[in-house]
Amino acid sequence: MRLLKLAAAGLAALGLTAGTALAAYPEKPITLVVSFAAGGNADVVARITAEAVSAELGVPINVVNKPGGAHIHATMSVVEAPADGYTLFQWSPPSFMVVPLTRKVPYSPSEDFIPFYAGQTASNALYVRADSPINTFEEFLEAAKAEKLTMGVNNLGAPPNLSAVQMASEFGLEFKTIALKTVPASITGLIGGQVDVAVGQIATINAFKDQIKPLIILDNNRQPFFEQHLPGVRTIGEAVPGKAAGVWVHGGLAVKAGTPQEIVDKLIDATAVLGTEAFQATLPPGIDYRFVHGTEAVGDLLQSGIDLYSPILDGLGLLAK
Amino acid sequence: MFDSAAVGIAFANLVDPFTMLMLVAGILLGLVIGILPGLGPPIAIALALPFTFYMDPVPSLILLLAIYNAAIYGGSISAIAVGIPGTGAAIATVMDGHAMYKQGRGGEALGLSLTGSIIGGLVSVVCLTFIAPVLATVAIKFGPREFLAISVFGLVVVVRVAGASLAKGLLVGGLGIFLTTWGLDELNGAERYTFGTYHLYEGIPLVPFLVGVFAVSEVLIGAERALKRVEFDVASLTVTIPGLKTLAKLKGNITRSSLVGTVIGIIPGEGAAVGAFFAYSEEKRRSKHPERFGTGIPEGIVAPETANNATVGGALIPTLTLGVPGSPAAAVLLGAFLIQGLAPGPTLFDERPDIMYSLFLGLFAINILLLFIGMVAIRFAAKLIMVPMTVIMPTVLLLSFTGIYAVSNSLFNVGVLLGGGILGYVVRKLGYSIAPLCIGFVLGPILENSLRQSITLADGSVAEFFNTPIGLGIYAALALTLLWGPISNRLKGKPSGGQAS
Repeated sequence: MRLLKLAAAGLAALGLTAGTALAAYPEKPITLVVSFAAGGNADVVARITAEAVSAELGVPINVVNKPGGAHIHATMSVVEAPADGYTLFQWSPPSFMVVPLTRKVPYSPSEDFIPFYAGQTASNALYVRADSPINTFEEFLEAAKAEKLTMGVNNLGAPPNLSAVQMASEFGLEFKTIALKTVPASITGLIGGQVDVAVGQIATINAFKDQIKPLIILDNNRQPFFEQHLPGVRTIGEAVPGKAAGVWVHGGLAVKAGTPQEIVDKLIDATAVLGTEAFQATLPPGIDYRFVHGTEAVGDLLQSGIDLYSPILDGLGLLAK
Repeated sequence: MFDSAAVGIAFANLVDPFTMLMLVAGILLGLVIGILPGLGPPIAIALALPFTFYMDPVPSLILLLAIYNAAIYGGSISAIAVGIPGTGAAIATVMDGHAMYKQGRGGEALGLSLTGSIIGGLVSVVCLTFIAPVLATVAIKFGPREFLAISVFGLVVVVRVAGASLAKGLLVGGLGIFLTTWGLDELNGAERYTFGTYHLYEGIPLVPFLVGVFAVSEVLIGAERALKRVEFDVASLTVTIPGLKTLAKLKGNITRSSLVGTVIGIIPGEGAAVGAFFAYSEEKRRSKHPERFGTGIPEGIVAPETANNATVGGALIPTLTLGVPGSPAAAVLLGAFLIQGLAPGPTLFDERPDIMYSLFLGLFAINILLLFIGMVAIRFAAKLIMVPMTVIMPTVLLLSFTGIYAVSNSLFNVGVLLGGGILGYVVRKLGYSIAPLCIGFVLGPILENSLRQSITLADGSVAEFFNTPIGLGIYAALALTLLWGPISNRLKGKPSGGQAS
């Protein structure tokens, strides 16, 4: 009897809170969990995004940085929070793609989350020093076949490295790969003569115009921003038909799975502002952007990344089985 | 070379009342955060970062630079007055600074550290302003083989100097390096000592560990002995800024330490702590009475404090000219530039000279104002001794715990803080020094990465492994450092054995 009463009371309470939450969402500040430390590129974009979405929703969105632990600590903190739409997650290639593919993680990006928006993106390009004797991708292929070139990437297993690995296996090349921690560090390593070639992002060229030259774009799908940064530079597939070297770098927002549909819909409506040119104009230079909106479209985008990286990581023996 | 119109704009930017307000606010905030153990310059800058969203580039960058400078200086106040470094940069200052304080010369120690910090800061800003592009071209020559040489040099020299004996120092330094191997192997993804927890995937976090080793172990050590009140006379509480005579005596020390700090700052990834240790060990090596280092002498305070503030200007050189941060704090600063729509790198100087000059002029102003604000601050710090240790110690502990949790939002890091504290306690109880442990922990990742990448680069060839003129120069300097004592003793006809390191 008592048990029944308790259960009834519990149900009523649940119904009540759920009802008011739905009616009034959002009625209190929202937390946005970022798995990177404050001050980095990812954090900067998260904060600008939070500001724009917060204006739409009418409540503050507080950015909380939870760096470290291979992004798992931050991701799990969202999984462990209630599915009420008051905890958002800024997902990124490590938390939603590379780490779940290479590690046993206590979460599943597709089952534990509802990703509904993607914005920040990047594509990679292969660079050499401005005074390098290598001028074209064809000359590069010859040089790389003649001797093992030193290849600079930011981190092993990160997208620039994976693009380089795919290119190497497509053309049967071998490199001495050096990880230099960040993309600007790989490029200065290139300028300083530490490495012969380096993979950077397409936008990287803007900061080093006179010191480096691009050879090829490491992306299978041509994006509008390619011409803006690297006019006239070909992708691998355009240079050598039939060959591929892809990249998957996207970041966006997700809520925990189980969040009521009405709340997800409100969030999708509010994030429509991120597709406007006015918002995109506020992004720092060097951030490339491709607006993908809605749970289905973002789900397809994530699947395309899994399809691209699984075989590459498997080839490296890094795929979590 | 100098664009006078841009300098004019920069000057006008700087005398703007709001910018001045930010400058003073930054110094105050930086001082407080620097004094608190566990909160260092990177965290201080990150905390203020959201506020810069709504500001113009110049005031926001001035705010952050003021915080950066003041936080590095602030760490020495707690190092001297409580014996717990407020930041990693002040670890080397504890040895002589706190010893001097306990001898009743606290005011003098605080004055020396302030003066050294200001001079070091100013010298590095001069280097930044006038020769940044030249220095940056040297910094980019540093690849894996050069980093390997510099970390071997750093470990051997610093461990030799920081500990009581070379063997004990190497042992504890080795322990520090071992602890940095925990976590995912960056080159092949192997899990090393992760004990099944993903929290250890990126290794033991640096800041909680170092704060634990210093602050928590200090509290534990303090807890087990009866805390007796030390009686101080009025003179020991009076802050004295060193006079010209003292400065003239220390002028070689200050010059060398400024340059050491600037150079270490330029090398990407090496922060203020390493700069301070390098300067301390260099001065101890050169000294005619090295055995007096650690007993509370002015040289042992001025060297690390001059050098750690000199790393600020140094670290900004690759940050501004290459877009590669020279220190962890500079990495957060880079974010501030991005928020402002500025991309640090070779092109920034041509595109926005007004902003660059504003920063240079601002750094001068920051250092000069820091002198005055610092003088007020250390008057209070000198009086800290009047507060019983039974109040200070638990307060320090509480601040460390809240600070560590607030920054990472992670209880695991609080556990690391405790674990580091217990380790530090055991190490000290066994009669070892914790400074080599910290240096091992700071340099370990650089050592491992550069060694393994050098092996990759050499591709099986020994000649290729040592094909590094800069690196060979560093190895030669190391050999000279180690052998100079015995050789010069031999030349002078003295017996070489039996000297304390």
